[in-house]
Amino acid sequence: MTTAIVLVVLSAIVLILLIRVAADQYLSPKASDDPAEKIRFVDIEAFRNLIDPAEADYLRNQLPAHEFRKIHRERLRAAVEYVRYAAQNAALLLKIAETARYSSEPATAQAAEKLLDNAIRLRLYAFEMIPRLYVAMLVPRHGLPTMRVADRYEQMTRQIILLGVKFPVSGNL
Amino acid sequence: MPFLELLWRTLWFLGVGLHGLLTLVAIKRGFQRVYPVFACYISWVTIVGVALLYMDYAPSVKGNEYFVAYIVALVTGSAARFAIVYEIFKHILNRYPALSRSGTLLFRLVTVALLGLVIVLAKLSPPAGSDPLMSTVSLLETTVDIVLVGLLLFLFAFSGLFSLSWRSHAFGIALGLGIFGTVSLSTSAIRAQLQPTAPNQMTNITNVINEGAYVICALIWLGYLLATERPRQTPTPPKHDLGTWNQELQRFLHR
Repeated sequence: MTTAIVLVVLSAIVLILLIRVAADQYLSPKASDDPAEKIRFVDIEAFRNLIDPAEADYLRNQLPAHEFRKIHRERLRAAVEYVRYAAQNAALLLKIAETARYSSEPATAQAAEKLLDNAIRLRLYAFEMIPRLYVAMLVPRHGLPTMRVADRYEQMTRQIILLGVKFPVSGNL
Repeated sequence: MPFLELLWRTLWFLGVGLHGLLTLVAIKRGFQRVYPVFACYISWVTIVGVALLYMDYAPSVKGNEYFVAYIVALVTGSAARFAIVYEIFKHILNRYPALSRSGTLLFRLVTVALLGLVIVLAKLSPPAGSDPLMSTVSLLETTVDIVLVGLLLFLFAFSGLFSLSWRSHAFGIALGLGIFGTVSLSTSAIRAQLQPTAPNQMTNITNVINEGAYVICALIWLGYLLATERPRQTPTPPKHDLGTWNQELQRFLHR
């Protein structure tokens, strides 16, 4: 009987979720839902410092082991936050490009298609990077391979900064 | 005839009629060109529904003949529902080529994981009821519903994760399937547990719920089919920005 009860409860939860998703799909966006207003500024210099292997090596040499591990974890936790913000910005970009892809002007629609494609790739990079950063938190030596994608990520954050310039920026990190 | 039985039989007729109407509307609107699996499914459900209704009322049809027809309807309907979920997923991915490879891989992984889960659940669930054939059918219904609901959840979670927008028709189909799947999962789990040997109050209640979900599902699909598709409205940025943003993104991606 326990299995049946569990399945009934789970299906009820899924049903409620579905109804909520359906309601959200057709709620008209409010003024506060303007994606441009939600873009977060990502400090590229601070992020570069956080994932710089040379900086990590310097700290490792200067600090006692337990102190270094603590600080290393905190630094990577902050890096995860930066990546999350960048991923959120990419999601906002997606929403903007999604509307623009239906533009009657072919050039705008084409540009929006490309932007959409690239914003998705950007989000994929972010999702790939976050687990790696968590692994690096647990195993400090494992952090080095993750840092190889830092250069790519730097470009992404620059792109987000550019968005911040184009649109009003709020919620700075 | 008890009220509940009368109610579920009425809902059964109504459901079949609505699916017939749905098929006509879908064909008239050329839906079979965009969602061929879905169009085949609703046509098949209508045909099977009419056949089962006839068999249920015809005195010449024996119980075991009806049972065979029911099993055929169950197996083909379940297979078609999985195909519809895949069709919707493909439609979403076609609009976002960047996700095509990783999305397909994830879909396959989730399907395998769900199949593994239901096999384990089926092995662990204690045998209930005296009729082994009915036990197997109940178990089959429950496991099919678990996989279906799981795949639909994945579909919604995946599109939510990447902030993908749905065409309203695809969303409507998934929503209808989701509602039908969750309700069917609840009732099949109860039936699998209680295993009634003859129609009683409990079977009448589960039948009313199932047939009600069948009707609601048809109404949702009909509503979405009749509605005009429109993209979600979000503020549009000045058009020259798109090119600049894309250049920056490409610099990042192709570095």
